[in-house]
Amino acid sequence: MSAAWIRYATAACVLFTVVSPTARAQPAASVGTDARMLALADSITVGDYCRIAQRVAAAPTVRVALAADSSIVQLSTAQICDVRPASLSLRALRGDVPVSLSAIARLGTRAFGGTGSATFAAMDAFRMRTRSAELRPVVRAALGDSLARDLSRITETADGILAMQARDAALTRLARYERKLGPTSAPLNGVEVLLNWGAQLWVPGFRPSTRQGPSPWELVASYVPTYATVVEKRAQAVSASEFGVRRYLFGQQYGAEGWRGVLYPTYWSMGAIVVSDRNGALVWPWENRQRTGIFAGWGATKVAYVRGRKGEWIVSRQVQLIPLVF
Amino acid sequence: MNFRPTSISWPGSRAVLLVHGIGRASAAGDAAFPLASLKTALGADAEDVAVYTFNYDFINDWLVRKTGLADGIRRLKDVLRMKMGDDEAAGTIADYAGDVLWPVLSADLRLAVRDAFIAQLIQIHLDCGVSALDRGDDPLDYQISIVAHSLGCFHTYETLWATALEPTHRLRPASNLFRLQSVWLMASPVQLIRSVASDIRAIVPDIDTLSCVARPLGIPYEAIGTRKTMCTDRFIAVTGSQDPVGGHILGQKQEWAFMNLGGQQTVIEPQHLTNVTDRASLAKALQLAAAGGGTAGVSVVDPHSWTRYIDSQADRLRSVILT
Repeated sequence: MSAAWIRYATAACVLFTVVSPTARAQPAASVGTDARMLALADSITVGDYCRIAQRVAAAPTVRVALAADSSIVQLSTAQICDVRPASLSLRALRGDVPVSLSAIARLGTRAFGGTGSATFAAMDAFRMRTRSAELRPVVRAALGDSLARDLSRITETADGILAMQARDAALTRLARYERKLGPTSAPLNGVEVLLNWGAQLWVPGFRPSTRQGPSPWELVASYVPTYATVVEKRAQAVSASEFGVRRYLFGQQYGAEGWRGVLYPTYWSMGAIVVSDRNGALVWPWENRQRTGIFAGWGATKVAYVRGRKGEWIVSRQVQLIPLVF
Repeated sequence: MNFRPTSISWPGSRAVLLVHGIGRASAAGDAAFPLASLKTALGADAEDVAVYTFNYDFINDWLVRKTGLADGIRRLKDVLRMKMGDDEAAGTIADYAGDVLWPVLSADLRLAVRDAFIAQLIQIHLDCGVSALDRGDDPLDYQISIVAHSLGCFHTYETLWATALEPTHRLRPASNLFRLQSVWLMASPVQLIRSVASDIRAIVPDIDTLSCVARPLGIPYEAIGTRKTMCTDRFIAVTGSQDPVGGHILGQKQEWAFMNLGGQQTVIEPQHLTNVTDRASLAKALQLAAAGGGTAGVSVVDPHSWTRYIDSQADRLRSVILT
């Protein structure tokens, strides 16, 4: 029994030696610009934003120019001037840095419970109306150059740190696409290309999303001549057909390289398997009597249990021998 | 590979983003972009303009490897080249025919390119903000232009619609005040792709995310109530009278392939497929041919060349981008 397990382990090791090229898909950012923007966001508090917003909202010429939008600006200013987050920096309001104890005491909670997003939404509404191409000259004339510069610095910094989040979200989606399509993903055969294309056409769960990126799911329908088993103390090749699903793992720790990829692979898979009762490489699975079973894969490593006269465990590694075929 | 949006400290108050079309931009690096021509066009002010470049070959490569269809695409291109002769224009059309398949038929690829493009646009927006604020300037006084070529026009069109409509990208022209100084689409296949994709819409996945089919063609805008704010006031389409990608075949404009958005400024350059453009040059070429044999003195001109478009539009580019 132990000798059989040693052979299984040896076979698994041999399969693992086919190390696939991997690349960790992580968002990257411009360090210089980001550091500068975060430094600016650290230096500006919500209270600073409130004070300048009040100056703008109170200027008679601005109110006239805003016309119907004046009430929205007043409302936004009132929301920005909520006293609870007043001492927080813009960066802290976004949740990037720890909040001081005094701020926690003022807020009554360590979590902002939506205060941050509501304040940023108010800042967006304020900026949209007071910084438009039509209003900027009016505001500049009303505040004077120095205050207008402060307004620009404060409003554009608040916009900038939210833009950084939006950029990182886009890069995260792109990293997910790379996970699903890139070098560490499982290549598809011709049938799978058509099946997955059809799934994207007709099955909602397989479609990509504008906000989330690609669907993690992929259909599997492949001929796999690379399974192996041990029969009467001898290793034998087994050919099989697999039908199931593959799910890509989009977490940051997954998609790892080399041996770490064994623990944190790019995908897992599971489904049904069909094999012939005749073992061997390149055997047609429907030849002679077929046996059915289930397979499960963690990354490129796959294990299947096939029913028959006596149950049989078989193992394989995800590898495409002939592009577009199997 | 990890995509890293290009980040530049702006030397002045203007930036241009060059968006590559078909071909192997990744392999050639900066040489794939007409940087020298753009610099010449901008003249002495070129040093004050931050120039960004964007290509998406690496995403095409993912899908080609994933589906194992590299050989099929290569053969398709080879067949097309064979049928259309060996000149540069045929090569361009063949490259285009192969590369254009993916964005229409693969929603994953289309949206992946869009996300890379969006990340690059946001990075430019951030660089703009930091560069301006460090000088005590107002970032909203700084200007960004996009100059796209060929299939890059399609991705630019789709991305600008996505940014105009989707709040989470934070690049809407009205709500986020992200407006471009100018958008230049050179040899745009947007109408061509719309015509083809409309005919095969039953097999185009996730067609709602394909703006050039899902909605009437038009300059991307954000609507708030009845007010529409365009992504730019200067949407300029440049094509050549012999450029098939830009909607012309043998000098004839093809309505089904020629992009004509309401409000766009259209420039159609007169082009010739060879350097024989008048009676005098024809006579000279014939004399050379008679003397030396063959086609001495006659050369084929690529009507789709991005560099030629930039060179021929130099004055207009300078006056619009530097306004």
